[in-house]
Amino acid sequence: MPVPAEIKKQKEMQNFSDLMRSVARTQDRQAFIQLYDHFAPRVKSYLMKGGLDDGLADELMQETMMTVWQKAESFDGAKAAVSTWIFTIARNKKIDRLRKNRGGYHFDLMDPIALALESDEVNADDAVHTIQVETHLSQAVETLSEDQIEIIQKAFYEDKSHGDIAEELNLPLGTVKSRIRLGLKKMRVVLKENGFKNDSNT
Amino acid sequence: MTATLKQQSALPEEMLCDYFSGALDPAEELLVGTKLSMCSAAREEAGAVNAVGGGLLEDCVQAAVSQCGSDFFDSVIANGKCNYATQQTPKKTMGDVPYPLNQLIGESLEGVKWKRVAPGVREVKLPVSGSACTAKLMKLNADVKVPEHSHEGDELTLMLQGSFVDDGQTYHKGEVVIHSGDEHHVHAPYTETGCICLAVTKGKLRFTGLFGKVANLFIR
Repeated sequence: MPVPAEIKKQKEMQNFSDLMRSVARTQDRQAFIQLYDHFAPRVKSYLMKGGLDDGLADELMQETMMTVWQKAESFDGAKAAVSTWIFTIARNKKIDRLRKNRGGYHFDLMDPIALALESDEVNADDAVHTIQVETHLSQAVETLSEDQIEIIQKAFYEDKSHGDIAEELNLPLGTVKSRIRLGLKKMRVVLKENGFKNDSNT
Repeated sequence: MTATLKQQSALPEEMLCDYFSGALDPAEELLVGTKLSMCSAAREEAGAVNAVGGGLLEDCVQAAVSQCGSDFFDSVIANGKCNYATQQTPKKTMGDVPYPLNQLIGESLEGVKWKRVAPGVREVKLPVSGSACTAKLMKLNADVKVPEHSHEGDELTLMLQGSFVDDGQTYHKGEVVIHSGDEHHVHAPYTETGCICLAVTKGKLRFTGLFGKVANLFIR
């Protein structure tokens, strides 16, 4: 039996998906503003945690929100939650800006080319599922210990190797690795419990 | 202690986490990106890890932004500084070279200029800027056994064509062999069919075994 807080959260997540759809279909100004007011401060915070100063973080956040507007039509609620989609855009911008002459290849999961490789079966249920997943994921974060959140955020948000994180926090490398693993595992359990179809790893 | 082979046809989630945060060496990143382009199961796995990153966004303390939503919209979007674009999804079929590698080796394995390094073994070095690793494309003829050797650091191998056997496990196209540097692994992969693979290594290669003692004289 879902708890009131959960229901509220789920409604919020459903709302984001609807807002995106509205932006895509009718270029809805109000819908976009609601998305911006929720996500822009969080995206900027994420970018600053990644080591960017206030000015650059604000700039990239604006670029991210511009892309959210421009590519609203490509958002597929069955394939990703809104927060994941926006997070991915912000991350790609950060990486592109910071890497310059670096080689490597950053495969964009939301890339049209990548999506073209996927099979085309999309289920109506998928969209509902994704929203449930998003709700539960953000609540799962609340169950992580402070240590785990700190380390997982470092792992996801800063481009530091585990060795660097260990040095910075003055922890053994093994501790850093196992905290990340445990934190990820907790989040993944949530995904699995909610029938996240993409999670095949136990 | 005998080296244990980390059999992986999938990528470990710490590696995906590093990949997404930009912490991987560029050559390792290239290998992971190539694997993702080849393997829908890997993409799904990566999607799950990525979703965690999205979930964490909710938990982020909010930072003060320079403009609120309505100001942003009116000054940036309404001003036409950012045009709404209709999405066109290009349909793309991959040639026998996965597209993350296209820039380095073209679209077909036929066109690769191999360099012979040992009987039945050819390779071409891939220059990945900013990388501390060595990235190579390797081609082994049918029925070739690579002499027993070890690497000082991590070794990642992605199968692009054919198959090989490493420590009793067979690896096919799209699968990844990961040897961690702290294992101090020694191995002698064998291919019955012949194969082509992308190999990324950190640290020196040393041949062990009988052949090794001679070969090491020629390795810096």
